[in-house]
Amino acid sequence: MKQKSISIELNKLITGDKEFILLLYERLLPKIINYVKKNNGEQTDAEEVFHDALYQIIARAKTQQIEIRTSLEPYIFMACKNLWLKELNKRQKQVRNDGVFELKDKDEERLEAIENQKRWDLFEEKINLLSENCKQLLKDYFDKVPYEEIVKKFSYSSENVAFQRVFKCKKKLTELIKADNRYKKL
Amino acid sequence: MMDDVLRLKIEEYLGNQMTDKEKRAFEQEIAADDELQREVNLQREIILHLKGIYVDKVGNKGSEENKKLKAFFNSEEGKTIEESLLEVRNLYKEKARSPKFKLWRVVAAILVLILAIAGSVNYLTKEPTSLYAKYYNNKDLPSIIKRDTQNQWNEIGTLFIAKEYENCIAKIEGFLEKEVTNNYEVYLYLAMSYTEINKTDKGVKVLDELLDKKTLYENKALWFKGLIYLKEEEIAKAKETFKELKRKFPKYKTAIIEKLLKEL
Repeated sequence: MKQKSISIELNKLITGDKEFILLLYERLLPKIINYVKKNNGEQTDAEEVFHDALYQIIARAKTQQIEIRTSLEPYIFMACKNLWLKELNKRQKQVRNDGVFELKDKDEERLEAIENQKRWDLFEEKINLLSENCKQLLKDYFDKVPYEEIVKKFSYSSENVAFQRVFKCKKKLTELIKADNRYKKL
Repeated sequence: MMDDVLRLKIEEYLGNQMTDKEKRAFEQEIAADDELQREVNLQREIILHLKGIYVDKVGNKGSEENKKLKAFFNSEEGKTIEESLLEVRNLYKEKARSPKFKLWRVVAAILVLILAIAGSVNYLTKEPTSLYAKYYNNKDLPSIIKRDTQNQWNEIGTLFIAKEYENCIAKIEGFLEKEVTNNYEVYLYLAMSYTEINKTDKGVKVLDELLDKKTLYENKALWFKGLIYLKEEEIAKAKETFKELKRKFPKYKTAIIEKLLKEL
C-alpha cells in the first residue's frame, strides 16, 4: 500500500504534474534552503540543487528503473543533500587548485551525480535489508555513541562482543552489496 | 572469497590501527592484488556511507544506462521537462513573494505560540496520575549523547535532563522541520517532553509516527504510549497498548508489565 502511494507520487513527478511539483517546492524547498545555508551555501544554490534533484529523478525514471523504497520527500531531500555535497567538493577542489580545475559540461556533471546517487541508493537499500538490530548497531557505532552505551542498549556482555557484532553486521552488508548486479556495473 | 582474517586486517588498516611498518607492507599487498584493492575500496566506501560522508566517485561513464541518460538530456522531451520544472520554480518564487503567503506563515507562527501558552497554563493546573508517576522513569529513554562532545543531540539530552521541556521541544522540532533524520530516539524525547507539559495528545501522535517507522524503538514507543494513556487516565487504551507490547515483545519489561496490568 505504502509502495503504491510512492509510485503514485513518483508518477505525478515524472508526468510533470505542476500542482504536485509546486507542492513539493512548498514543503521541501525551505528545508533544503536551511540545509544549504547551514553548509556554506546560499538560497540560489539550494534552488539549483532542488531543481537538479527533481530533474535527476525524472531522467532516471524515464530511461531506466528507479525504485524508491522510502517516501518520496525524504528521498528528494537526501538527493538534494548529496548534490550539495558534490557541489561543495567541486568548490573545494577549485580552491585547492587555485582556480584551475577540470571543466566539465552540464551533462557530465549530471551523469556523475546520478552515478553517485545510484551507489548511495544501492548502499541504503542493502542497509535496509539488515536486521533492525544490525542497522541500529552500525548507526550507533558510526555515530560515535559511547561504547558502554552500546553495550547497555543492546544487552551485550562486553565491548568485545559489541565489536564482533559490528564486524559481522558490516560483513553481511558487504556481502549483500557485492551480490547485487548493480554493484558490478557501478 | 575474502576470509575474516583479511577482513580484520582491512579494518585495522582503514581504522589507522597499524604501525607504519605494517601499513607499508599491507599497502604493497594491496598494490599487487586487484581483488584486495577492490575490497579495501568497498570497505572504505561502506565506512564513509555509514558515517554519512558523501562519496564522490567517478564510475563507468560509458555504460548503456549512461548513454541513454545522455540521449535523454539532449532530447526534446528532456528539454521540455527542464523548462517545465523551471516554470514551476518561478511560480513558487512568485507565490512565496506574495503578501498572502507571508501572512499565512505569520498566522501559523502565532497559532503555535498560542498553543504553547495554552499548554503552559494546562501544565500548571493538572497533576499526573499516580500510576504514571510510579512507572515513568526517564532512564528508560535511550541515550541520546554521542561520543562527540559538541553536538545537537547532547544539547537535546541536556535540556531534557534539566526538565526544560519546552526548549527541548523547540530544539527537536526546529531540527525535524529542517532535516529528515534517522536518529529515531529524538521522537521518544519529543513525545515525553510533550507529555511532561501535559500535551499528551501530541505525545501520542509523535509516538504513532515513530511506530509507523518500524524501528528498533518500537517496544519503547509502545511502553511510553501506554504510560501517556495512564497519565490521561485512559485505562482501556493503556491496557490495550501494554497488551500489544507484551504480545509483540514478550521479553521487554515482562515482570513490570505483568504487575502494571494487574494494577489496572
